Amino acid sequence: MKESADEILREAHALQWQLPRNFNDRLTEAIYAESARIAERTVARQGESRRLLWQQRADRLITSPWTGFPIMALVFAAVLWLTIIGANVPSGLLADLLMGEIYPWLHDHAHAALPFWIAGLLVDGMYLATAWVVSVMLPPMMIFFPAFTLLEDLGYLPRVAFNLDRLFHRVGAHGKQALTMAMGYGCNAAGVIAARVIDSPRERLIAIVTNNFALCNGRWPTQILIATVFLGALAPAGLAGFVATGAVFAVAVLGFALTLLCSWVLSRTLLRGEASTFSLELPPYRPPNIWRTLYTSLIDRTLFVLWRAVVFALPAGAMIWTISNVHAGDQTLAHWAVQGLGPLGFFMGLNGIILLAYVIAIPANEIVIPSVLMLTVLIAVPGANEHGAGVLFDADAAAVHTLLTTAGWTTLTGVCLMLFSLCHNPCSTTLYTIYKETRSLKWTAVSAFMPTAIGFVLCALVAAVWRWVV
Amino acid sequence: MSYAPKNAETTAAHRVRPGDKRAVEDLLRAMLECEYRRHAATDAHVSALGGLGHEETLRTLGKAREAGLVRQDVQGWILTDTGRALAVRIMRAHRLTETDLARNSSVPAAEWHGRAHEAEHTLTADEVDALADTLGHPRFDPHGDPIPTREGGFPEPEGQPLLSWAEGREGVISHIEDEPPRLFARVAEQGIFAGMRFTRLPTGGGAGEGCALSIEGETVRLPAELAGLIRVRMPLTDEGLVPPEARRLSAVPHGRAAEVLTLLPGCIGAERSRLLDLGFVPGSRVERVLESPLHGPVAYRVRGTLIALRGTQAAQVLVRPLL
Repeated sequence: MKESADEILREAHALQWQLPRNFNDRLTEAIYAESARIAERTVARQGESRRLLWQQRADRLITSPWTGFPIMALVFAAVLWLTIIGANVPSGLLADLLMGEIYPWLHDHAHAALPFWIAGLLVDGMYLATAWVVSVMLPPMMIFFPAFTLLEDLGYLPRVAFNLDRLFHRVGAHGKQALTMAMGYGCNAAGVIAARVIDSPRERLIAIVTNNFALCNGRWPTQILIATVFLGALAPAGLAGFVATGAVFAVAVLGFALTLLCSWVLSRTLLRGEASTFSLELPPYRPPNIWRTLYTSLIDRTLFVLWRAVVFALPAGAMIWTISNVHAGDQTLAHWAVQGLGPLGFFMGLNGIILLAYVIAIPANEIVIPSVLMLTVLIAVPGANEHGAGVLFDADAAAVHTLLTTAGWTTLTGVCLMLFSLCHNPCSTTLYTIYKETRSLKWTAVSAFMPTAIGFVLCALVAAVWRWVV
Repeated sequence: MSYAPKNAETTAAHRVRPGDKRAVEDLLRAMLECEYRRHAATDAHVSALGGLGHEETLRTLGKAREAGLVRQDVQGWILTDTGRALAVRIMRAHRLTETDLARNSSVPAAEWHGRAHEAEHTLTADEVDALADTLGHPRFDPHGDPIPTREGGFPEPEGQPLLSWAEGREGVISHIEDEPPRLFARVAEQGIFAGMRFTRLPTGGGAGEGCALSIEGETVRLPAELAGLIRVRMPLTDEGLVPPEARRLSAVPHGRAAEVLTLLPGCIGAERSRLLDLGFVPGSRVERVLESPLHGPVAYRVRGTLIALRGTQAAQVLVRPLL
């Protein structure tokens, strides 16, 4: 009995080599083909020929070599322009309310009722930072997020990935990286998670590490405010909006170029490998459900991101107030830090306050501008805090311009701040997400240090050239 | 086929000092290669295949003889049963690793061999078995070589050199030699993989100029140095022939439709399942409807949806153009 079992095994082993080589593949193919046939027989389709025709026309326009890229640039610029123009008025109103009306009232009452340091920590620190975050961030987000959600619902974003795949392919990355970038324009942590749509681990890592070059919502307000204050102000009043939009657009395009460049470098050094496959469904265009879009983008994204910003603004506000009021020797801690960072800041076309703000803002990019402004008020412009603080905390561009130029800012400071805002470490939430997605300290570190290093070099170069020319 | 007792193999292997393990294992595999190709394993031959100097080869062969893995006779060196079993195990680890790299990574084809060469010395027997399990016990590696089973079985070599194949005759590519890696990479770049059907086309030039093939609906010219890496065999009865009108999906002109015949053997693993999932199955009607700017991916209408594919992927789908 044992003998014959051995013989059967031997026979089976000999026979297995005589099966056709692609026998497994053919088996699967046959199963797929059979199920397709069954579906064909039993599923009835309704004719959609008229809709298909205009969809085809739209597709041809959107993906044509001549009109595809201009349309992409236009759509993107239009979203930015709407955000910048549309956010101005509500931002001003919110700032008037939160800082012009409520802040003095809170300030007076708190300082009358509470010890100096508690009132300062709560009102001049935590409340003021939060009020700034809300008035600077809420209006742009309420326009930007729904606009992007609408584009997503329309089916436009997959076409963008289709158009851009060739560029990503050239640099050894995946076309779907365009989708993760689009998510990154909302929030980099969300963009990092969205990289799961890329199957190849190598290309997924590239998408994750370079996602930071997609300006997130926490940085749009910085870009928009600084562009409006320093670059828009250079142009005649009528053109200010366009100049500001153009400047922000240029930074976003630079971010895209850096994404391609870093992907190229990575896929030739640390992440060497072959381009994998690309298969992407281009869904039919659907009329978006506007009310649902508004509702979901408000609840899911705007309020979520705003809440996160507020949670990080509270401790940051407390910290700013503390370091500005606790003395070590004859100066406050903030003075020491700003002085220490000053030379490096000057070398990069920035100043000590901006670098300190970036250290404080590691938890969330949203609080960079509030930190910069609060530190400027507390340190660089003596006396501003006492007289008419409410006016200086106005989000109005002219007031911010006056404040910052008084503190020694020039157009170079503005330009370098915009560049550094594009190229610096991702916020701690994004870094944590990168760690969770990659399970690797090494790649988390690369994601943090690569953009920061690029930012240092870029800003220093711009500053050097600027000072040499001007 | 060899069914050597496993214990003897392990004890023999233990007699080799850890420092010599790699060199001995490389030599055993080189000798197995000689045996498979029916060469006599002379000193010079083994030394060339194993990549060691002459002195070093002799020294290592001595160590292997002490351990009872090889013996010497008039023609050259011969593997003992124990030595062969060990060599087969190393070959199995090597080929399974290459299959894994081809299916589940984006490591370029030129690097498969080097990486598998590292892995074959470090993987334990259990790890190799586990790898075979996860891969679904593949029978052939990406070069078309048989992967020995756990028991050590693998078939006799088949086929003949491509350059000796008659012009105008149909055949199937059975094996692509992966040494030297630089040349193998060039073959892979041409999209040629083991298992593809071809017809050798008549060429005007002399024998030294290589050959021209019609491979699965596409014409490819191969210089002699690349053609020399390829071995071919007769088609099996159920492998069928490539219909003369067959094209690659990538060669279908804009606006035209085609019917899917099959997915090519170069398209393996997740990539293959993905294409099948999207509806690129035999019998599907596919229409090329949208080009992307910069000659990037192309979108095809298949089963009512619009699917964008890169050119290299569309080249993996064999179709029959429809009027």
